[in-house]
Amino acid sequence: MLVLLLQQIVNGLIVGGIYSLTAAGVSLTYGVLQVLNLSQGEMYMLGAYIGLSIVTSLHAPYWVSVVGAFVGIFILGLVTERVALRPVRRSGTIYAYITTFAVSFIIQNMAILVWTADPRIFPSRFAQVNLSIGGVYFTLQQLIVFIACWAIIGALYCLLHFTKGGLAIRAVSQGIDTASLMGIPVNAVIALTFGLATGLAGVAGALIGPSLLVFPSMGSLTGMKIYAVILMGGLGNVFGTCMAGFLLGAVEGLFNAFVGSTFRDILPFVVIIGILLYKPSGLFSRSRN
Amino acid sequence: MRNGIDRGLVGKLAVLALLAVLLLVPKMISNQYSLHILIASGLAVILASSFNVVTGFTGQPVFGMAAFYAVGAYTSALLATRLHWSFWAALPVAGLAAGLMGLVIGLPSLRLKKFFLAITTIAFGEVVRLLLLNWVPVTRGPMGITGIPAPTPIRIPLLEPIVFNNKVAYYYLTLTLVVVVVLSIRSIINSPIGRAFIATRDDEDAAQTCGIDTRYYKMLSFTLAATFSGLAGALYAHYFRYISPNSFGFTESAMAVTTALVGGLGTIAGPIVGGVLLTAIPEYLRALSDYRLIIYGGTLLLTLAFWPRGIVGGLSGIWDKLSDRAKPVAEPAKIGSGGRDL
Repeated sequence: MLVLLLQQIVNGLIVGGIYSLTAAGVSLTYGVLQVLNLSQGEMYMLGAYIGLSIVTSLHAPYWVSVVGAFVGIFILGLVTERVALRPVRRSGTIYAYITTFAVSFIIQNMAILVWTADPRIFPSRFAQVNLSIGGVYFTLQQLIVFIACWAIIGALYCLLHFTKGGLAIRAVSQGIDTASLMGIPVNAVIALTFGLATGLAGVAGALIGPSLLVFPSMGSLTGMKIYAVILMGGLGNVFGTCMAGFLLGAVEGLFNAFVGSTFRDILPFVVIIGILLYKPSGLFSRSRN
Repeated sequence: MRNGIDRGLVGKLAVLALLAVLLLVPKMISNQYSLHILIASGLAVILASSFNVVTGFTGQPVFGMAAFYAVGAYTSALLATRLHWSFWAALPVAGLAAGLMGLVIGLPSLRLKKFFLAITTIAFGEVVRLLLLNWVPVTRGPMGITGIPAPTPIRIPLLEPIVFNNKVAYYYLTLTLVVVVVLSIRSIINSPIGRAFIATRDDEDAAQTCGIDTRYYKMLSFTLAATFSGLAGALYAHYFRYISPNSFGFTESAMAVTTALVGGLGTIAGPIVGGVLLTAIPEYLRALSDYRLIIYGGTLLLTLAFWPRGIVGGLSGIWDKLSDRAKPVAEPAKIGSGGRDL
């Protein structure tokens, strides 16, 4: 029983890493623009498809597909920022929610047209390698996902705190106009931050793809989970968000073990509503920056 | 307040002329398919107008309007098929049920602002759809409800009874509902309540400072929007006479947002223009039906980039220039621009 429980928690933590990456991107965008991206779930879905296409059509190694997904979604993020966010930047945030909402249904329907609605399998030879620690089983693929997630979160932390670019991002998040007066190229910083933020979702999609099926609506539900994670982590708190991602994954694992997977999809909604009712500033709100 | 209708006599005459044309439409168009499109446009207009009340006038991004549409449709359909209520009795109950649902959903979620409200309402929309899909004993799940009866005939002394066995009767029914809803929204918006809505939208803190209970007005606008959507849902159920959870998915919510935005958010006429255009054009471009949401999304992005006040807002700007009024050209309403999200 204990092993079964541990197994579910381990599975949950692995998926939780994916939530962390995707949600950290949304939190990052909020930091600089005070706008949260409603199309992040679709970026994640598209990342999985890009990775899958690179592996199946180009027969490239897996790491190439992950990098490819990042680059592809990074570029898509730059385009999205230019066509959907910049035109409405001064019109009030509600317009930005509507444009990112529009981007989400454009991307999702394009994916249906390009790849059809049928689920696809993302082949990976690492998914065939089984490992075990004390009776808890996982695949090499899952281990790679877990390590990659922590590595990327660490890299993100270093980028934000120890580089000039990170300083620029933090300066813009303090105030766009002031940053602009200090000679920071605000438009470029915002565009690159948005690209980076969506790119994180792209990587997450390509990382988790081999452990799941890939289909056009996979981003919608994950999108809801991401927002649950952001609520738990506290708005604009990138690292609180990351921790909340792992927490939601683990809770999901426990939920699977005790309640069964039928109702798993309702969990994010329960979390959202529960947090809104009892702690709308997030579970980690004391450490808000 | 700037909108196409509030422009004195010219505007009033134009509206009357438009109404006259709309009343005569079935005499001019005998094509059943065109009438069907007009009925569908009417439903889209009601849905977009309700979204407009809460988002356009009160500034609260509610992206899950389809939930209330669904509650209205299912309430009315279940009352009619299980309890054999007539449409005329079920219609107001459907509106009330949706309004009640709005109240229940609004109480926790309107504590939130902006983004969180947007995702919470999307989440509630999903919960409603999942509930309809899984609560099989009541809703018959994915099979949907079939055999919803048509409204019972209206009998007026000395006149022939109006029987709902043709599109013309449904057309007039839809038109009546659209006029009632739009006029109610217009009189609400032009009343002190409407001014409180707009004050809440423009700056919630300032509105509170002026003694406006913004929480109450947000609830009120949300409940009103839910009620109107519920009425549209009831009409939908009794017109199509078949409903399933898939009729009220994310697409319908997305459509309400697009319609109101493209027509002109925060104007009375906007959702009407948007509803008719965005229903009629895709219907005539049937070959493009797979691209429907892509076209909607693209239209939204283009409109917001080039004409942020939508068709109606843009046209009234041109009208002002042409008629050489000394009014300054208004900035697009800055909705939700002040304050933090939480």
